[in-house]
Amino acid sequence: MSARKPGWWATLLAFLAVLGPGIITGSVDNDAGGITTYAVAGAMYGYNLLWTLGPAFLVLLVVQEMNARMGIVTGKGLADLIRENAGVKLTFLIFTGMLFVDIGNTMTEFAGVAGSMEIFGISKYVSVPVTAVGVWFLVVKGTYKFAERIFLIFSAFLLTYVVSAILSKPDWGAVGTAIIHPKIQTDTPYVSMVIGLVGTTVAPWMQFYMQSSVIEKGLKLDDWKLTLADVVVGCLLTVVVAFFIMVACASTLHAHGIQIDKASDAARALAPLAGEAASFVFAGGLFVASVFAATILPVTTSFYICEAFGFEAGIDKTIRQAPQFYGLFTSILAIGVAIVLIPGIPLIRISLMSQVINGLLLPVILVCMMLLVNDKEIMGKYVNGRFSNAVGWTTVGTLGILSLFLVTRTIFRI
Amino acid sequence: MSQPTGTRSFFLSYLLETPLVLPDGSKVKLREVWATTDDTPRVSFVTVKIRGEIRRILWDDLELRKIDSGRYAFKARSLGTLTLSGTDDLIQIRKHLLDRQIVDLDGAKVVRVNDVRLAHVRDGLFLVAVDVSFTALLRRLGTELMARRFFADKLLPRYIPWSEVQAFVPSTGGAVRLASSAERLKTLHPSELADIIENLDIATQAAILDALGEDSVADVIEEMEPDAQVSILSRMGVEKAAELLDQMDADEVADIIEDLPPEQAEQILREMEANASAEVRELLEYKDDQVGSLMSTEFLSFSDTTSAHDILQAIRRDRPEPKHTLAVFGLDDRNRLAAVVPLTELVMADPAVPLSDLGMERLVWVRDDAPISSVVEILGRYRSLAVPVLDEHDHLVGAVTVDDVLGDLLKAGGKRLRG
Repeated sequence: MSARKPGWWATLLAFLAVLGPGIITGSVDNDAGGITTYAVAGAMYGYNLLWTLGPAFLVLLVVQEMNARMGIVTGKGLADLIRENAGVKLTFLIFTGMLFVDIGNTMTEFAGVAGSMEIFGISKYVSVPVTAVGVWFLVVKGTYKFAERIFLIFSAFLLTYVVSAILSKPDWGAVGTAIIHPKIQTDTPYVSMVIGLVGTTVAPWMQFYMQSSVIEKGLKLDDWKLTLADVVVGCLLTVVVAFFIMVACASTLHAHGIQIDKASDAARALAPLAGEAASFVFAGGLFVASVFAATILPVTTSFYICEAFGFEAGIDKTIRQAPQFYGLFTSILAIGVAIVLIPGIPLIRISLMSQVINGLLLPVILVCMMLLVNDKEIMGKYVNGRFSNAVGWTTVGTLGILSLFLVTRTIFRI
Repeated sequence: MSQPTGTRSFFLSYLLETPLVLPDGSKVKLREVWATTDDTPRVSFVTVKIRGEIRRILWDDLELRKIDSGRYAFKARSLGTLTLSGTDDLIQIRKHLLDRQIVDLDGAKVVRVNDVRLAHVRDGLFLVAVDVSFTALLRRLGTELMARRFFADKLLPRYIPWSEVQAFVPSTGGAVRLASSAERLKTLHPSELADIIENLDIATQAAILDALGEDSVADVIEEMEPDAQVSILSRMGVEKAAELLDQMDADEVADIIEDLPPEQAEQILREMEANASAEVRELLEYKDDQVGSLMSTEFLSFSDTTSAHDILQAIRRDRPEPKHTLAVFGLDDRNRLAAVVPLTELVMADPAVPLSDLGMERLVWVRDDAPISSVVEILGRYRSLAVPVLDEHDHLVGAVTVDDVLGDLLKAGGKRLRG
């Protein structure tokens, strides 16, 4: 095993390195929150909601293409552009909101770590602190290159969900029918599930992440075709993984009428239905996705807040060079971890609340993006074409309405 | 302009969006403040929007009426022209400066402008400093006074005087130009400049590199992180990149070329001068952990019969870079390494003494394919500043200096060594 392994790893790494920002963003998209939403949707509605992945893919593609284009043309991060063009007040509002949302998201990721490790019989009082310390050291003591390489390997692990789905022996005929002739319902729970699915796929912080990584990679307009391919592959990866999670849960949990509200419940419920292997694979995927997002999320959040307010930032800097950046990073991580470890805390309520703020912020940020990407002084001749604008504004409008709908719904549920 | 006594300076944030009464009595809001690009920019006019049209009002035609603390109102005596032509040389303080990134030359870093300080001196209003403090943000959010109640005097403005600021002005087509002469930037050390450039966006990077001139650009790029080197060189285009690399030492070029995509590396090597690229290609043959990948191919070697006096003369004449003069190597009549003499010893020696009589009795050198760790050990053990490198035919092919090794150690140690 020792002689061949390095060659195989090297090939895999080289392949993933070429793909770059799009594929990493696509993978982070399927974080603990995403997996939970897909699993719950599969358990509740079976194959019925698979059709949503089509529009979700389109929306994701349109939004990320704009991010990549803005990053390449301006060489500036999204936070940078918002601060320079939207003024201090709106910037302050957006980033205060984002800080709360991302603390909530980080908490969700650590809840994912806790849940998945409990499947393997490890207490959350061990798994969560150990993971958090590991994440902290990776970011504070490691270098960007090293961290990125680890993230790229992580991306490949998400494909374990394909294995999970196949182990659950789905009825492929029914899957096909559900996609071609979806039975769309109009009752409120169904509609809000649809909104949840699309909303979890286009999380605001990812727009910032995408744009910064395009710049970090030093991509230029000559690379546009490759970059676009990378974005498409990343978006595809997101929906493919989502597809298999939904299929796995639909063909087992839904078929037996089991309802869940956490991703780790899905993993646990899979054991008697699809075998222990499927359960372990599902939990393993959840663990990797949670750690992955638990690393990138606090870093990205700290980075764009520092970018917007003019503090030095970057994980290649030392604590002395960028105290605000590391301070923010450590606080977000610590608060997220602390909430998960408090016994008896209503985790689901807290993550619902952060989803509400998320839902309010998403349209605001998308409108900012549309205005920026259409500003000739910023984008020169690379402003949106008529087609991109039509798709873009439709997306923004629909998402805006859907998000507001979701927010009102959630407020009443709380 | 006339004003109440005591009002000697303003924050830009207090001026923007303040009410302005026009000669006909109608009210508009102050939109933008325009200043010259002199060493101390002077405010020449402000702009307002009247029925959808932008109009100038000369600063001298404005009359200030202070309402209460921190709030102003203006009265215009007359309206200026409609057109904004001939304004290319002016800075729009709100658009070009406020919320933008600038270089703090004294602190040698990139910061964001949270507010701008304007001062009334002698015959006009001048841009004197930018405020980069968090307090300035609170001021613009309208919460400064409230926050002061809790944090009292901890919330002070942090000014950077305009003479210590390098600002950038975007122009049409996405290009950026410097708001003042590049001389200010040249006061920074190349490594500081490298850090600053890495933190700026592409258009600003291009503007700085353009303004620095070819010689300094090579020095700055040498100091950059590999990622930034790659991104800047690939944007530059093959021809310009080759021209730039021709001015650097072969070992540094090899380090950069190694990080470029193979196809682009090959194009640049072909475009470079034949001698330079041949040297680089030889260096690229070495593996990462071999001495050859670290050594400089520039060094001082003389026949070992040359006198100390003649060598020092030659150094005075040719003015090599300091890192290449740490030691001088003597070659015998068969072109073999015969002496390794530190510069200090050469300086102290009797001018008539030949090279062969100087240096240590025992020659210390290292083979080009030896591991890097061996040269680190030699430098440490013999307290030498430079070690000659010989190839398999015992030909002198390069030298490793403490400088090379220190750079390598810092890279390997990453930020653990830096703090």
